[in-house]
Amino acid sequence: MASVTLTIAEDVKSELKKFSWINWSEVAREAFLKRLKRDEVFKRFDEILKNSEMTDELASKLGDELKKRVAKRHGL
Amino acid sequence: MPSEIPDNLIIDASILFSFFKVNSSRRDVFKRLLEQECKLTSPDFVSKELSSNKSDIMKFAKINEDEFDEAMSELGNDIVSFKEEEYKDLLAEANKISPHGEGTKDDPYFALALAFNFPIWSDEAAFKLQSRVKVFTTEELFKLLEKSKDNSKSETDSESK
Repeated sequence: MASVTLTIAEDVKSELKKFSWINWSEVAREAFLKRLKRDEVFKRFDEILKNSEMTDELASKLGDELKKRVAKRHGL
Repeated sequence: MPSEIPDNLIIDASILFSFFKVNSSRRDVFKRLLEQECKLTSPDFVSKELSSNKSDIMKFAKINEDEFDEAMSELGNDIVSFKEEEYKDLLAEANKISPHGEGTKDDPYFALALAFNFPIWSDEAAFKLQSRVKVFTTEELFKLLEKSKDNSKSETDSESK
């Protein structure tokens, strides 16, 4: 397994030490994986939406219609 | 989270639809807000109503059903929907400040904002005609995100010296 070195502020390091029972490496690993997964998902959206003809004007129109339906569901 | 980036943001419906645009700057801001642990929220029923626009979205975004479901699943993971019960008492008050006079389409958004003191993310200029609820445009959020990136870069640079 590879290792990664992080730079953090001294006061943050002191805070981390107060919670010595927490596996900070695991916390960092999970954060890396979460970020990587999101990047992959959004990269995929860029790919599948490359031929999209949605425009901001259309989005506003559809958004307005949706909000009217949502308001109606609220009894408004 | 950098102090100026809100912890919570109510996302306007138009922003949601432009998630399906090619090279969408709003989608980019959406992703970067999530990276900053900003919680994106919406009033009740928005997700269900967005699903009812399935055929429109598939047609305009040129995506198939699986791709639509994939996008909806991601939006479902990323956006916290609040139940009507949590803000319905403020719908009448929201109507007094929401910007479209007798219209009620924005009331659930403003009621949710009043109930939890959340700002709204919207590019609708009329939303800024009131002062009770803070409204961020996409451009304003982009600038905050850029500022936060610059700050964290300079912190890292100074720490590594």
